[in-house]
Amino acid sequence: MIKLTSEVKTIIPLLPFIIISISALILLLFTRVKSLENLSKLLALLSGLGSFIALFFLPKNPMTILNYSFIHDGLTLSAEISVLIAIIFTVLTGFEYEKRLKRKPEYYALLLFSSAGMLVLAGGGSLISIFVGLELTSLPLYILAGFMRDDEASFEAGVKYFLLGSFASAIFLMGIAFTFGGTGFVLLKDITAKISSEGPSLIIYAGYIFLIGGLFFKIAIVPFHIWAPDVYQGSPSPVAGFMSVAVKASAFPVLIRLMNGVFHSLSPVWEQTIYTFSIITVIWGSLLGIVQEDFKRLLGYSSIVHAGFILIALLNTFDGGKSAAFYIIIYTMMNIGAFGVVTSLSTENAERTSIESLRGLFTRDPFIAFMLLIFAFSLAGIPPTAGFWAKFYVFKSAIGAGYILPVIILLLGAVVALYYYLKVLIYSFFYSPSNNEPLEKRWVLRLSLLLLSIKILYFGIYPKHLIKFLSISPFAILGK
Amino acid sequence: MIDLLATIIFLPAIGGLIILLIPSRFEKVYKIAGIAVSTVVFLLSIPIFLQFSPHAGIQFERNIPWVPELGITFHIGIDGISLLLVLLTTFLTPLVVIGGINSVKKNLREYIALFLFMETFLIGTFSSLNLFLFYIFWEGSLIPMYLIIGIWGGERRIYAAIKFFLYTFFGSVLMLAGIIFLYIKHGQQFGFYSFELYSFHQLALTPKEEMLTFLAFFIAFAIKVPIFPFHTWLPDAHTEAPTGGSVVLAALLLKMGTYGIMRFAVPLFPNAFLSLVDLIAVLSLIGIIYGALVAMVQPDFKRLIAFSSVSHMGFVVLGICSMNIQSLTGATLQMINHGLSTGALFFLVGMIYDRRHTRMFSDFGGLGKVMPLYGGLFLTIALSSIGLPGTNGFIGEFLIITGSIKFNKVYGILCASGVIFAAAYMLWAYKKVFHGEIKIEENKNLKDLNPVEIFIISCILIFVLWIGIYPSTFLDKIQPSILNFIDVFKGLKPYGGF
Repeated sequence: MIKLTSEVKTIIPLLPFIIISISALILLLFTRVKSLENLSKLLALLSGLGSFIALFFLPKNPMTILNYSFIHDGLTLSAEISVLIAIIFTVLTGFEYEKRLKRKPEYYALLLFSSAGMLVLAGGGSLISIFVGLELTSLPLYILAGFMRDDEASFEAGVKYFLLGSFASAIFLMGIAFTFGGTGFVLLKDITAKISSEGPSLIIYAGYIFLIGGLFFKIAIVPFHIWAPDVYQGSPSPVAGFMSVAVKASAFPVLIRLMNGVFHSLSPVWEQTIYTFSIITVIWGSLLGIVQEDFKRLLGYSSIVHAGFILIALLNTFDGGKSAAFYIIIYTMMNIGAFGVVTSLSTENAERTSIESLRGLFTRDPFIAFMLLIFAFSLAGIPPTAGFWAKFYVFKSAIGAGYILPVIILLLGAVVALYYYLKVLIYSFFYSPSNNEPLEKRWVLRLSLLLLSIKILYFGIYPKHLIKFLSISPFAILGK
Repeated sequence: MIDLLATIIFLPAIGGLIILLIPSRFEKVYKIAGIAVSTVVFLLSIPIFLQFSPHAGIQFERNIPWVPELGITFHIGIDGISLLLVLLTTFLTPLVVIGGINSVKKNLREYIALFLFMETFLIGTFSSLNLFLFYIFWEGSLIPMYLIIGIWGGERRIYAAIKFFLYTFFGSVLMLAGIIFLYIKHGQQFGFYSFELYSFHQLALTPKEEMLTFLAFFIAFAIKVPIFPFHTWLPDAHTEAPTGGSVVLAALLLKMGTYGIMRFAVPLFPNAFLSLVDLIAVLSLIGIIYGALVAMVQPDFKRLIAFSSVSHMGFVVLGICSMNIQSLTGATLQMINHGLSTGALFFLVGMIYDRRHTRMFSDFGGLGKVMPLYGGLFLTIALSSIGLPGTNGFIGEFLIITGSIKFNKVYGILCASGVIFAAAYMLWAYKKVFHGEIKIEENKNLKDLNPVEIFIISCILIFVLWIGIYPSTFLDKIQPSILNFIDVFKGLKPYGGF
């Protein structure tokens, strides 16, 4: 039996991160050896599964490690669950799709590096570790968005994401500088103590604005969303699915820590920020989604709307974090599923992403059509799918904090958003197909969609385990 | 001892799932499975009716923790108000499945399965005693109906399906906000969270809170009923839906609205209801008369029946507004009557549509000569819809009119005039289709009803006459529950200022 020294013990909460980043480094070695190329997806999958299993062995109590710069609590844990589900199913839904990719090991290495960054970001307890996590998340994603170098749309997506993304990072960095300048600390707990004891100053407000602005860009809150539809449309479908969920999953914990923790004493500024932006985001996202002709673009707007829904939960400092975490886990499964359906439409040498290409899906491939049905209704939040519970949870939090009017506006936004999910279903169920070309039979993809939809229905009918997990995991917010 | 109510809720959905898994080449298997499942459910619901004892309040109650952390339980049970609606659901579903096998050609397997899912959601809606559970069943019922209208519907099916879904979803989300609000209030007032209907009864709400929550619930139900001016989705949905869809829409889905008003909106917020009762009564009167007048001028058979539904559902709502024993008994019975008569009418229109692929009155005329049996059955059902003594419609409408005269004489008189209009549009429709000479060549060789079609209509006819001649079988089961319901209003005064 190996006796762990106390130093080693302290980094146990980083186990998922360690597994993922070591695998990513090994994958980089694979690029040198041609014969190992096809093993790369298996390694990526195994490392995802391995670190998912590692989650079960993490300490049950909240703790902070590495001199308060990594917080291990329910919030981090639920974000890690989302990120790892996202990486596992991104690899699975792209299992056959990767035939289209050149440079496979790099593709998986970049995915893993990005996930590693997300795992750091989610638990970030100091402005430095948050920034490192943010950059490690974003840089591989810039490359992945433009991974299909020959495809003009993908190239455009990569460049656009890179330019706007690094601008946002710069803004976030500016926020860090201001906050540090105003308080003299980088650890979240010190900053919190300083702000609540000495009260806010102008420089702290500036720090707040820049930090929140940078994060809003990453999770695509209107008006910082402009990149999202273009980037989702252009990126390879599995990558788009991964981006749309995992970035949100890892950036929201930081937002929660900042809003409900660090800047809590700035009340009511942060409450006003939340409900203003949440309402704008949901309304704008649902209205613009209506006119979209491209399925991936539409999912882009849909993910903007979902970010707005998650944001409203933060109004409740008591259980908002749990509701947001619950929403994000469910959202991860259904959105990866929806992007998986897009992936299944693509052929050997072309992406098929227009809504038109869904025409007659019910006749051409009833299985995929039913999967789409479940994902779409779950995204729309119709029971008995899990999406309904997710919406219920965030609305419960917001109403519990006394914000009824914003919730009603958001619910009406959900009605508008429902229209475009229905539009997708109309094309796939009610129109007869223009060509009878059946979809390619990709068994791993199909199996993973089936798994996701079973999970969504299972949590929709019996969400007890998920709820229980969240209610026993302490949300320490600042890791006290 | 099996739990009958829970069984008939879940059996259809399980059956539906199994049917979806049967490969589509085994056509016979899934046809038989569909009929078998729906018939077994109906047979299981008969003991529920027989064992139901009128004075025992809520029966067949089952309370299983589902998500206890949130106060969500699987709490079901039925009283006299829901009993007949549950029975109507289990009775009509086998007929719809049989009718579908007789006439649907495309994707029959999915058609049968969706109606079975629908049955689960409907029975669940009619028997939930936990508002969260109720909401899940209520919302869930939209999905199968959306697909049914959209896949098997007529030319404008897509427009109709999306209008139906968005309209009702709009109402539902308001109700969801209302439900969550009550839930939070319950947590604040009692220290623990619950969605139970009976816990909500004990909430103390300020007049403003009560009025707003009442409106959130009421608008959701009013859209479903539909009460004028929320009715515009109905003619499109009814007209474009396939026969089975129209039957279920008219006979069962609309009842979710009136049932919701009786079970939730009124008992939970009696003061708010009392303050608005005149407004609601006037709206339902407008519905009665407007629906009938518009029905008169419809060139399309199905649209006529759709508008007649608006008119008939107005009677039910007026019956609820009158708040006395006669009117409420009448309203409860009229929900069933409308389900039977209008359901049968949609079946009948579907049968002629299968033959001629048109529903326009101008394409018919003189059919009495070639389809005498069809004509006879149609007339009987039409008369029951009008409310001829000896048929079910008479009992329901008579009770509602008596009750509403007691409540307000003007309302009573206006409401009675609705019956005359009903006679006018129904008999005109009959005249246009069955009397006169056959003008169109294709109509000369029409075949009369086949045995399956005769079976469907005669099943309904049995109950039409049964309720018409000896309604006590059913009224006895309803009345004690109605008396409990009226107790809610004892000693209440409407709020001033609204």
